[in-house]
Amino acid sequence: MNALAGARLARRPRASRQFLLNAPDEESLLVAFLTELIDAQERAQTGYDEFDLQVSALSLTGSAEGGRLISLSKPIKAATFHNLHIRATVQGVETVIVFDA
Amino acid sequence: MQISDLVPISDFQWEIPRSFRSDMRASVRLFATRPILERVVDDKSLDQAVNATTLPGLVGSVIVMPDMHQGYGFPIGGVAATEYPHGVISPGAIGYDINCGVRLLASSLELGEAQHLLGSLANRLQSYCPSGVGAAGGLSISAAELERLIRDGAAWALRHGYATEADLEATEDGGSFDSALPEAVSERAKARGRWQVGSLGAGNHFIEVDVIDQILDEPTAGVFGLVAGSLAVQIHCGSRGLGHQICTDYVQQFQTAVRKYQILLPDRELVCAPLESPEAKSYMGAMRAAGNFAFVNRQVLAHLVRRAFEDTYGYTGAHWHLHQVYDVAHNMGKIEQHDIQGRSATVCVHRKGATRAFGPGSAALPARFKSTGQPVLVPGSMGTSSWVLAGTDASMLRSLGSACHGAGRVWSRARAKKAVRGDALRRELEERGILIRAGSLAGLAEEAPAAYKDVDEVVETVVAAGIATKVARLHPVAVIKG
Repeated sequence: MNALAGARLARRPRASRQFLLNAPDEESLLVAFLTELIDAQERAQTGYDEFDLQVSALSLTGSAEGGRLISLSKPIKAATFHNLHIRATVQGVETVIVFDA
Repeated sequence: MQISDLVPISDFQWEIPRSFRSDMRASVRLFATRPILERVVDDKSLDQAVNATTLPGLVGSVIVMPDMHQGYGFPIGGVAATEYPHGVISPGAIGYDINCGVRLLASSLELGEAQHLLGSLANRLQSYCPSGVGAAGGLSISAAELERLIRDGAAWALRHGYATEADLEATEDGGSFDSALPEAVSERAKARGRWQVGSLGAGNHFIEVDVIDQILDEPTAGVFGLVAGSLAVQIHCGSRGLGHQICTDYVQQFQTAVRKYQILLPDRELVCAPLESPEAKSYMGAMRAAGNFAFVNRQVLAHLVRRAFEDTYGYTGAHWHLHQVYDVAHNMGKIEQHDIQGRSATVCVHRKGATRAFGPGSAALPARFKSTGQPVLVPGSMGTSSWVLAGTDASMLRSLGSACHGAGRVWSRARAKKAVRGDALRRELEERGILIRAGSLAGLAEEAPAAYKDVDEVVETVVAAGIATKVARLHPVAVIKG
């Protein structure tokens, strides 16, 4: 997401935050989580690049670390449900998420 | 889908019959020529139109305009009406940029008289009208003031000196949607919007100075206040982060609502709720609040545009005054009265990338447009013509009082950036006498004319289909983009 948005982050000081999100299904949980990151980019001018997350069926907890945005060439405005399906694969789960930018 | 799946009704109208897919509740009516269809058949817009026909309570056909292209869930250029109060409302069928729209201001300042200061004007427009990535707006307002702004819309701008009574009269719904519910807007949406009042943003939003280069209908142009050879200004933008967050919030909330109301849909971006449900009432209140925000946003930008004109041309003695021709929404859901298959019905009309095009005599129009139909503003792609059309009686019967909203993309932004160099495009446009002020060359490349359909072809299609008439053509002389 940082790459798509052309986000460059300051190395110091590091910023951190906690997440505690619940949703009715996995896809909603993913969209809710990405919405948090979009909001952080737009309002707090902060991007995250290190994550320690635990995902259970319908909740996401954990923390993220990142830095202040030095630049953002293509801001993402929303994460959509457009054709969103999370699939189980041998490597875990994967999906294609469409952002509105 | 293939063109062979479509049934031609005329050279300009096609149908996807209900029999095409078993879950369709209605047909799809397309306003398009064969060449236009050949260019869109590879994207998902036609499939998305078919998906839209599965919305419960649908009344009449799902309508698709010739500037159609793939959206999220619902096609851009799509119009769908659901029965009120027993149908549904779908945030995805209205779009993320709620009340994205176009405002047209016009002057009697002739291009020849203005030309020598056009560069200064373009510089001032870029300087006065905040634009670009994450740009803060021209106003800084308190949280309490934002509540009043999103409740009252353009009436708020009038109270604060950014609008005139004439501006409000020349704005769809007077610039204020009744029944806006600030309390239905999340704190996050308010926080995103609070610092963006009076800002253009990036993407396909722009301010464009045009010359009115052709009048096609003198009497109607006279009513609209359009004078051949004079300057006009288009402002294209919407509800910024506030609208996006409202759509995000309610598309998420409605994921639960569709389970609660046992609504099955082929695409989760189409989620909806029954119009009388608490979820829908809350969304409609929030959507109208975002609509009010967008009206104020364009109004404040219009105020800044007028300042730029005054500071550039005021001392010359030129008649620079910009009156508002009209302001139209092209992403909105509204409760309207329509004749559907011979009976009058109250419906919730979803327009996503489609402009309201009410014809002569419509009760919703101000007195001055009663004989002409409403102005329909159709901006072209950068560097190409734009059009002022008028709504018709036929649009009320054939297209739920709607027409096209622009040229419509044919290339994705990524493809446009690969194919077009922003600096070369800027040089080419400037060689053609069009001044460009852009915050980003990459952003400029995304909006290259090659990335869009030919707006003239789109306009010819809606005119030939009878859902709008030509009033005037505009030619760009300066474009300001984020």
